[in-house]
Amino acid sequence: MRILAVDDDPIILTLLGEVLRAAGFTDVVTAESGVQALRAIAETDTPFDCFLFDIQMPEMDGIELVQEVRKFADYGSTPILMITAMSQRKYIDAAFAAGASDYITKPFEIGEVHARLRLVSSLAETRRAGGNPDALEAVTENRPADLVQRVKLHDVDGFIDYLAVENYLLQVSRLSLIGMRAFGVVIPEMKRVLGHSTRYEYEAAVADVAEAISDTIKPLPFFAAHAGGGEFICVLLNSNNFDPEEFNQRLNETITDMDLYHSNGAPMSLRAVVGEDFSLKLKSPKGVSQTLVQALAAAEMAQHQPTRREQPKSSLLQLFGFG
Amino acid sequence: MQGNDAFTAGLQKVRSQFVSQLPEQAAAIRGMWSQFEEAPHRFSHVLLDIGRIAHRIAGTAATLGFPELGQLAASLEEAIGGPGDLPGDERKIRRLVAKFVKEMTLISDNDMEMGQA
Repeated sequence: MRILAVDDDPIILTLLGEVLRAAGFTDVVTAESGVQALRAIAETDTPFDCFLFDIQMPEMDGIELVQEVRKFADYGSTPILMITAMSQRKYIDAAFAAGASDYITKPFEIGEVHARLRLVSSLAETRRAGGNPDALEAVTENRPADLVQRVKLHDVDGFIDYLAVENYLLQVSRLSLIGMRAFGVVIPEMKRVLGHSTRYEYEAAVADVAEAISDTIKPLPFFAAHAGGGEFICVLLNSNNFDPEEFNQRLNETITDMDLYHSNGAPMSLRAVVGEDFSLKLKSPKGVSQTLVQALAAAEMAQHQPTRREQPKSSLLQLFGFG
Repeated sequence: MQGNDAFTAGLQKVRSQFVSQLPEQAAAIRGMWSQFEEAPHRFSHVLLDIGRIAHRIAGTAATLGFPELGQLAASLEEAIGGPGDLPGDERKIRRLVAKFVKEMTLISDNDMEMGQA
């Protein structure tokens, strides 16, 4: 795995070199600034498989660097790990919003860095085996859609990768998860509507739904991710009075207003179902991942249940003339 | 086993490099603090330079086996804060600067003694 490590502190770069070498990663390029890093990326013949960025650096900080790297077509989904002493929530939020995949705070435990990098390395292996998805995008857009595949939605406000959502919550759980809530959104007809579509059409539909989710949640701060097929996970970062049913209605209005069409010009009818929301407060790191799964399962269940408005009125209320 | 030995040797090299820089950094902090004490309002910006040194040390010290130094550096960095926080709680910063410099000097003196032994 080819790694580019960027930090303005030469001691950290030497230390990282030793830590990486001990874990078997010997192909490591270092840079002492964002500008140097971008030059290394532009000039390299062999693409990097992983980036390690500090945040606090003079001139261009690590968050700006993430944004710049994500602009390269080949690095849209390459893992970027922030290794930084900035442990405050505002930096964690900004790094993930810019496109970071994971976050390690300094002073780091050597074992922790090794564990995270092994995970990244296995992802890089998978990418290599299947080809770089970013580079292949242009030539494979006409192949049939794989409806299980998670779509990268870095262009949609608030949307990051599913794994990045988990990593974000893992990091923030060390500070506080108070005010954070998770809920799932499913598009029940996704399989039926897009079962015979091309990959391009499938990704465009997923992006449209993501756009609708993003537009409907805003201005609340949130992160969301495509969980594959017609499923989306949303995490509200600071909300204690979220009403899933009201959100469900507004989201479907937004989708209807988008007036979606298939590539052949036929209208595309998609309906969203929003599941029950779950508080993440006091969750353990393991509990956080389980809650995301629970939130998606609740959205799956919700599609088979009538909404409050559709529920039959109580016979007692009807008896007294309130029905 | 050989890999572990190489890693330990590599870490030792980084640790030595880190410790060898401490006297120079301690002297720089002392100089900047004197400048600040002479005219706090004119030289409040030097606190940010002290904060930058503390930030770097906070990021590496514990990993290299100096948790107390790392903790002091983190506390000092936090007490100084960013440009909007200047000059901050001067008495607290003064106490932390003194402790931080003392710990830096102690580590480098110990290291020198061990090297001579």
